[in-house]
Amino acid sequence: MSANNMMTIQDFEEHALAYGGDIDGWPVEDRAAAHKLFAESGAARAALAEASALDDMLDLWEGPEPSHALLSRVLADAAMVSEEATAKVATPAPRPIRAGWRERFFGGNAVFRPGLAFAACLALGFVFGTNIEHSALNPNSDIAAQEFGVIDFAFAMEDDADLLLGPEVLL
Amino acid sequence: MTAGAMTSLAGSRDADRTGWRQERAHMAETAMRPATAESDDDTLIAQFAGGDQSAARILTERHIGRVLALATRMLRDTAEAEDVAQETMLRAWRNAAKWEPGKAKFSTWLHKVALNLCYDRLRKRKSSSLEEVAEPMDDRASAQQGMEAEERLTLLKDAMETLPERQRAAIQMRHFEERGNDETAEILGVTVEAVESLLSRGRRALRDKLAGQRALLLEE
Repeated sequence: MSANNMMTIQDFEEHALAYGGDIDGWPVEDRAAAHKLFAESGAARAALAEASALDDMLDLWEGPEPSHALLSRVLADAAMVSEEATAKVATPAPRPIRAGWRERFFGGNAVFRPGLAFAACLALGFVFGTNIEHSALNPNSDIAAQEFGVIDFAFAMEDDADLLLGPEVLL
Repeated sequence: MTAGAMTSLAGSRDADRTGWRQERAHMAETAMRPATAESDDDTLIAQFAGGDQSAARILTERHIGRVLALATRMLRDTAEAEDVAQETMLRAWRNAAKWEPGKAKFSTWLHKVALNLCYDRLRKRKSSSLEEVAEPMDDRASAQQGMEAEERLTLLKDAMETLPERQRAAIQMRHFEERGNDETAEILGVTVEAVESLLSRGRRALRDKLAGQRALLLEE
């Protein structure tokens, strides 16, 4: 459309091609200008006649009437959906029984079960690892333990004497 | 946030809540009323969601013809078109409880669903081998009609079938269903400008393809 809202013959032809031979079926804002041009221009009338001919060809293809069987199937679907909805409302889903903490942590489906197994492996590994290391690296570990025990005992005696007699006695 | 602004926000929330309650109450009241042929689509959907089977019957009688025509022209196969029409209505029943009145036009939504189902089937056809494509049912059914009428219709269908899917759908919406550009654009999922372009290209291609058969088609 031109700036002063006048429709050119090119616009008219484009509209006729897109929207067909009935100006009243075109976009509302273009109808008045189209009617005016149609009244004035032989080219516009020819374009509209061409578009109408294509409309007539398209109209040969009528849509089929829906069969009784199709209507029955659609209504049976509607009844089925209604029944499903009613059944859902009538029988609410059973509330799941809450498992006790033993079941949750150690039961067959416990979420933490793999984690607990892993932690147990780690703890066992640590205990065994440290024991093996201690005995492997210190073959005389029993003797050393006895020596440390004697020294500890000696210091303990000294402390006791301090308490009973005072530090001056030993000096 | 100032005290005034907080009061105003709380007020608008209350208004929203009140509006929502009123809407729910209206829907519940609507669902209780009996369905009639004069009821609009939104009312009938609410009534169906409330368990009224007569609402389903009215909606089906109102819309299935156009949905079937759309599917038939897109697929050119009556059996497949009937399947699409049935599936489209089934989706409507399944979504009835969630339907929000006024948000979209029911017939627009229905045609959108039907068109997408047609696109799916056309894509499957393209990917399957030529031997697996069923012979168009319409042509066989129309064998009883006069040869000339059948020939003319076949010419038109062949020409339509050569158009790209979206051009065919645009012609279907505008010419056969007389829908406006806005609604056609919404159904096709394109802009209004794109609708005009699809229509121009589609109809130009049809005109050129049928130019040689014009005398036969229009019995001139």
